[in-house]
Amino acid sequence: MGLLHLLSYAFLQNALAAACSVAVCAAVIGYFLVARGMTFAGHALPNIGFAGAAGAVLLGVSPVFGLFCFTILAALVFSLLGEQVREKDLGIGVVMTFSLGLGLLFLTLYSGYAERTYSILFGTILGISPAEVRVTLASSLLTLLCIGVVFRPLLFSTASSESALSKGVPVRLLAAVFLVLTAVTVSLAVQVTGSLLVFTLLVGPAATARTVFRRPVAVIGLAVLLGEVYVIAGILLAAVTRTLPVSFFVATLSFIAFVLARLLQKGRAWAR
Amino acid sequence: MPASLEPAVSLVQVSIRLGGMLIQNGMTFQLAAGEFVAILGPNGAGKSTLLKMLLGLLRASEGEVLVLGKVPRTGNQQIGYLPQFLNLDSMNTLRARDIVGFGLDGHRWGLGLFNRDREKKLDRILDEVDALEFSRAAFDELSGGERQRLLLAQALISDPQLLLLDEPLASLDIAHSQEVIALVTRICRSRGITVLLVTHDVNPLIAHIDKVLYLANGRSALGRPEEVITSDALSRLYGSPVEVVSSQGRRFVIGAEV
Repeated sequence: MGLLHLLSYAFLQNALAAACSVAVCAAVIGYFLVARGMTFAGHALPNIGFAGAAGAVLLGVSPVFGLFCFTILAALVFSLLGEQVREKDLGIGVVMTFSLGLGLLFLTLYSGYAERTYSILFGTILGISPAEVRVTLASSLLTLLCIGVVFRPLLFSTASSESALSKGVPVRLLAAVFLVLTAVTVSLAVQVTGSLLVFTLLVGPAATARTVFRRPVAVIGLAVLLGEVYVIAGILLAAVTRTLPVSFFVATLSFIAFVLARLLQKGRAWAR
Repeated sequence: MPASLEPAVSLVQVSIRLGGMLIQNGMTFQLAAGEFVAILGPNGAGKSTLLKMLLGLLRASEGEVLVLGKVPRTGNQQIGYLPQFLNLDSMNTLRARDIVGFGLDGHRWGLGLFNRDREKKLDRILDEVDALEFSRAAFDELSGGERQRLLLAQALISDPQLLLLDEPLASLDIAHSQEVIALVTRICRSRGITVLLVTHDVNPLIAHIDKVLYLANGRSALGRPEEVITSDALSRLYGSPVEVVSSQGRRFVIGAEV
């Protein structure tokens, strides 16, 4: 089946529109997650979102609303945890495992199709509804606008929170805002990759881009580009093969790019 | 810039509490504009805490504090600050000039698009601290001395009247330490601004500073180094016998935690 013919299908257009907008947010948020040493939160939030999605399925509403509720609530809890990364990560881990327990409970109570569970864990971007696409596009745009507004002080407080505080930057408030934006992005990304594989789209592109460039704008630009390549290639490959899952391709491409970038970086350091 | 008659820093009967502990009691002193002051004292005496109070990051539990004639508040562009700790992990991948730029507009909302005047201003300040040649290098490629020069540039770029430097010499070897001291002295004199520098070793600074502010045992003493760093003065401050030994123009404190 030709690629052009495939692209004429509405389900594929919906999938591409949603995934491409999510990939931009995920790459931008991922840059700050890596720079702030908060990638564990990026791993925990989708797992917490899993419980929200399972709860939503149990109540018979769209999983994305359950994702939003649980991840945003968790983000607010995270921002109240200690300043120290170690202490914070312990708290995050405890909240995450409790949520996974809740998710299991919801799934046990829900006696419907196992496919719903599967799709939350591994993504169902090819089955995204037009209404969910609209929610995704609007939320992505809002997230990017917010990041645009807080960009400079967020970067400043990431590099040196004490200097930023002395200049009057509301460091704690920014940290909370950033976590909420991360929660929104994670909720959107779960639709593409599933909650188990969000990390690959969230942290993968930024981690790879950081080995190539240094300027924040350049790193973010490359991360966005990589994220777009992963999701577009993933969706098209899945559509062409017809049986293989999108998230498998996204995760694999993200992995290969990261390994190659690291090898190149090591090679450069070695040659010096 | 003419030194004004108004003191740069004025404390009257100031007490500082940290987590319920009284760490300074009844601090009273004034620092004149344009003075270069070293802050000394053992760990936990309140050196960094004093700087944070002057920055408006925490309040005195009692007493009156005036900085450049005003009650301290955060966001005062008249004060330049070099903190003791950095988030090196995220700092490392930034370019030198990005880090200096934070001091100019890091607190402003928005993306901060390219601006020719801003770049010129960055170049000027980088030149002043002899950092122009590595302005596009990443932070992790720089030596300790080069990093401190950059952080100084970040603190200076808003044209402050008061510079607060928290342990800028820690973890520097003697050569780099001398280099930073020479630079701070030059900035203090040529700009006529007040500098407070927290340090553990006053010796490399003795020839350059105007005064020493010694914090210990919940109390403080301010004066010229030869007045404050003496057996009598420090014994009074610590409340126990302390001996100061002078040798080759250097002073060594014996019998107390410095």
